[in-house]
Amino acid sequence: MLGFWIMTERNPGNAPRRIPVLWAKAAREARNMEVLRYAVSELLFRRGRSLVTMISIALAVLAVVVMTALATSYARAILVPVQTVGADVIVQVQGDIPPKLEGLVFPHPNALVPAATVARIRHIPGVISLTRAVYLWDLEPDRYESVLGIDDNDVGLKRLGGLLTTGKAIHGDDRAVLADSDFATKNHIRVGDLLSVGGERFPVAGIVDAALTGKVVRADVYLPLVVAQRLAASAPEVRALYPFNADDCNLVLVKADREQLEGVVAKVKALLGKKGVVSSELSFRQALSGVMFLSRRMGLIIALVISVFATAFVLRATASAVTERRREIAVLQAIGWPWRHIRRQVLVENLVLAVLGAGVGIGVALAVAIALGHISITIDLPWDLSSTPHFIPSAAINRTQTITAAVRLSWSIAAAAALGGVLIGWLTAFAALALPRPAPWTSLRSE
Amino acid sequence: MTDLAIHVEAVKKRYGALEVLRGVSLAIPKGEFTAIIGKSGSGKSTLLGVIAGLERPDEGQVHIMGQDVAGVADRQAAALRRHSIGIVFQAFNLIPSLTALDNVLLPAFFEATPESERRVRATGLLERVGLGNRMDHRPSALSGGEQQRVAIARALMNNPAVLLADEPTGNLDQETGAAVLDLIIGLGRMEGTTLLMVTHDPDVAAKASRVIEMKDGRIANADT
Repeated sequence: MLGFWIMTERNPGNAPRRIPVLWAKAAREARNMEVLRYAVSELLFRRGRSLVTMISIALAVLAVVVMTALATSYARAILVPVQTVGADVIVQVQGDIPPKLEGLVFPHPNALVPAATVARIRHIPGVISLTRAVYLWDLEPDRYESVLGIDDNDVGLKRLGGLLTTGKAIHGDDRAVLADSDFATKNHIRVGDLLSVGGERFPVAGIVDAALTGKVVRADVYLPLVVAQRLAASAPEVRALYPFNADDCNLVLVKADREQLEGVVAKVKALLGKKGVVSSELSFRQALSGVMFLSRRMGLIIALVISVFATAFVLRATASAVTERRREIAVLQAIGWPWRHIRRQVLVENLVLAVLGAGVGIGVALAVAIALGHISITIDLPWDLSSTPHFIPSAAINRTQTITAAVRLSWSIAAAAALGGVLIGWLTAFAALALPRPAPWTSLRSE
Repeated sequence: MTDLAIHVEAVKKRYGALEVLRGVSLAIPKGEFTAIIGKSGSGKSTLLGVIAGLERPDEGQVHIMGQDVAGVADRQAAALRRHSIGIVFQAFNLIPSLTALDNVLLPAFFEATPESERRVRATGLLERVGLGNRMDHRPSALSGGEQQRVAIARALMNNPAVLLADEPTGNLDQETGAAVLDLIIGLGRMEGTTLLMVTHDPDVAAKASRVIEMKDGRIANADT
């Protein structure tokens, strides 16, 4: 029964009073409500200062949330070109310039990848599937076209079948080609026309809009791999450089277990040696590290700078409020408020503003994300991944790719920013209260 | 000692080179109304601050209702003020953001008494000072006299044994000042409170049962 009773604050001059625990709890809760009511009255009374504090915290939270969301969207957009190929790793080997630039030639980032090497890549742990391809330039005195012969699978001909704008898909054993829509428009090519590749004529089965999936591994003409292998194997300028056999290729698209991506890339690089060009999400990120830095780090740096300024504003507003309220604080001391309760009152006031500010910041960030909808960025693709014969002015293509990505807020970042905002309110109140305490009687006395 | 509400012994206080209190000793019995008079700079307000525990004496002892004020920690001094001392200031010193009722409730913030009981007490006090119909007004909406009445109600909220008043009529016109003074004395008597008032007004001092005159930080004479 004794445990049911607690000692309350001593009443000097009298015996300690005892009250039931439940009564004490109810009194404490009521007191907390009074603290909050007093805080709200004070905040409403000093609207200017309250607004400055709240807006500063809201701005800091807004900056962190929006800048992070933009940076994340930007970083996601940058990775789109590689991802849209349908593979995780693009394998090439640097080669040499052919003695004569005529007929079918290998672009120099696309040297021979022997069938034996492909077989070894296939057995690397983490490799899920392979797509072989032969990439060629067909250089004639009056025209140029890039040609891609590719396996008949989800990454190759089947994927192209999904990009048809007119005509029909082709398969591995067909003797027909698909023409890229830009190339077809430029050269007035229609379905059913005959197109010359390496001196042979092929019927155009369909027109594909490969631009829909980006510009990486994009060609003017697509045909079955076996046809391209046969053409390459008999092309004098290819044979002048490489002992190309009909089961070899010069481009390999690898689907890999993303968990093991790094290991797969390392092993392929080791296999190909110095001349190997292994492109992946990782190399793309590395190649665009400047842009990535700007997008991710700069976003955070800008948000951090805004947060520092916001903290300074809040600290100034809180310190001014504490100074302005010197007399009020002295009154509270005079009527018997212990300093810890006065401190708690100021902390509660700042906490209320911080919570409101964080809420407003997240609300506005959400509105900004909805209003923006998406970001649109234009990036330069590495030449290796979209090689065209730059020595032919009319053949050089614009290798920039415009990508859009939705702006989405990260709720974990929003929660962290809100917590940071509350922390700003809390810490600045502590800092303001750490100023030398005023002597209360000096503020209150008549003389 | 137990019959004394306020006991000050050999208190000295100095601000830098200026010695404001030079060994002041004072004993005020419970229930007495004592006025301290003196010129500006005589040390009377400083003495009141020391008695309230809001100024620390450099030397000497101060006891309120037998409890040490000068030698205890800030927290204990605050608890003593909250329970045993009410203070009325010349400049009213109400919290501008709070209503009259909330201002009166402030000293009882940390009491274990249920809020309803505290509100009854605060409302009763405001009615007794004639502000029953102005409880929800903020200080800016009240006249000087009304603000001082709220301050008196606030000072009496925790039923203190000692009421300290520092020139309570100094900011009021003569008529209002007289009414406020009567209110302090009347309520003080009704509540059995010991009243110590600093004033420079001889008419105010004339109403006290004892007048202490201070000069140059010392008690010049004490009439009864």
